[in-house]
Amino acid sequence: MVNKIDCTILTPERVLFEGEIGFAVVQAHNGEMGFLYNHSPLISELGVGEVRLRDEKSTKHFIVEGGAVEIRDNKLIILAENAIPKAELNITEIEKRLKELSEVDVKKFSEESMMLQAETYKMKMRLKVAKR
Amino acid sequence: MAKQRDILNRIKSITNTKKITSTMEMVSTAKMKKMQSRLEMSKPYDVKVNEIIKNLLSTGVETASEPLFREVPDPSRVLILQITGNRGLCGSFNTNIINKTMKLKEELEADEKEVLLYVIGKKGINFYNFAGVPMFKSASNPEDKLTFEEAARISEELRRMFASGEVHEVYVSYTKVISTASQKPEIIKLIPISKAETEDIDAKLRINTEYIFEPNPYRVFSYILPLYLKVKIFTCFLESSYSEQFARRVAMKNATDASTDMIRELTISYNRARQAKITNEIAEIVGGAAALE
Repeated sequence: MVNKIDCTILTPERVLFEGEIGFAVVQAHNGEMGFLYNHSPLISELGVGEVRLRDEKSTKHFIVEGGAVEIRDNKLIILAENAIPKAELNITEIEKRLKELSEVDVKKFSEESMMLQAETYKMKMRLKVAKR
Repeated sequence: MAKQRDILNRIKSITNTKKITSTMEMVSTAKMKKMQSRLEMSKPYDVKVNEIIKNLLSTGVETASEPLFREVPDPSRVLILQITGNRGLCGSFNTNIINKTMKLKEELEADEKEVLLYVIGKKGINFYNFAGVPMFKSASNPEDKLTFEEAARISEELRRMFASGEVHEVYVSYTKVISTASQKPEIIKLIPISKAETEDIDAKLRINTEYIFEPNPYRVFSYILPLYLKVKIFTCFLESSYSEQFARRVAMKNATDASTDMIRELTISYNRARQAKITNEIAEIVGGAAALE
């Protein structure tokens, strides 16, 4: 296959992935978004969720927690605020954290409960990716 | 007699000091290298965020509505975020930043503006405590434990203060890395974001690519600007830490070199003293023998 996208996943801490892939799926702000060769230039906000990078043989999974994505001239750049590859996720640790979070008691609709919800959601997404 | 032993003691104590300084030099070299690689890792991110903002601006998004761009006419409350180190023994690194900040503070106060200081780093805090200058807020420098979340938290705090109108301008006083071998204390205006900074490259980059924005340019814009601030503060922290380690390395290298020189000189004078003593003793023996004859 010749038609490949040049893909880079960046976080402020490191360059997470750099290479050519055939097909990419990212979690945009309100749903998943796929990119193939010759996609028109686009900038989008990212939500918390999974990023899948596929070429003919394998699929790589990442979890991206907020950021932005840009594609132009078949160069896909994912600017993540925080991103972790699947290999670095630890299922037992995430489950432990989820359990801890479920035990925290906060007032409904307060700022803390919102933050708790966001954190729980993040962990759930991490778990989903880790179990892939 | 006593002189000889004194010199020996001094040599010993300087040798010990030299051991410490050369170890510190090695430690800070290692830390500096680590910071350098982190700095390089964060560079592409920084560049990319700037590029996206430029692309957004070139599409002609209405920026007037974006609060982070809004200049407050006649600003009267200004916040300065000052980043110093936690520790000394790094030459004039900390004093340079403090001096620079104080100068700006005086200038602003001469214009009858109220200046709030947000001090990061124990050295800075100690100074202001000693000088009796009130600080708005202070925190110790996270140094090599610095994470992006930490920087994000601070920038979010600053952004909120600006958005709520609590402060009208935010400056950052830190040490900028110009090249790997040269750093300089600098003050930048963080908020409101100056458009001039983004405009010059904008002209060059006018490639006229029609972007699709998801969900719309305004949303992307209002998301990417806070991100820009976070990245900016994160880089400021990284650069400061790098500069601190660099300054410490230089200071420690100088100290090590100076102690090497001192040891050499002292060894020479030690040998002289020893030789003088021996000569003296021989002279005494010869004199004694001559007296017996």
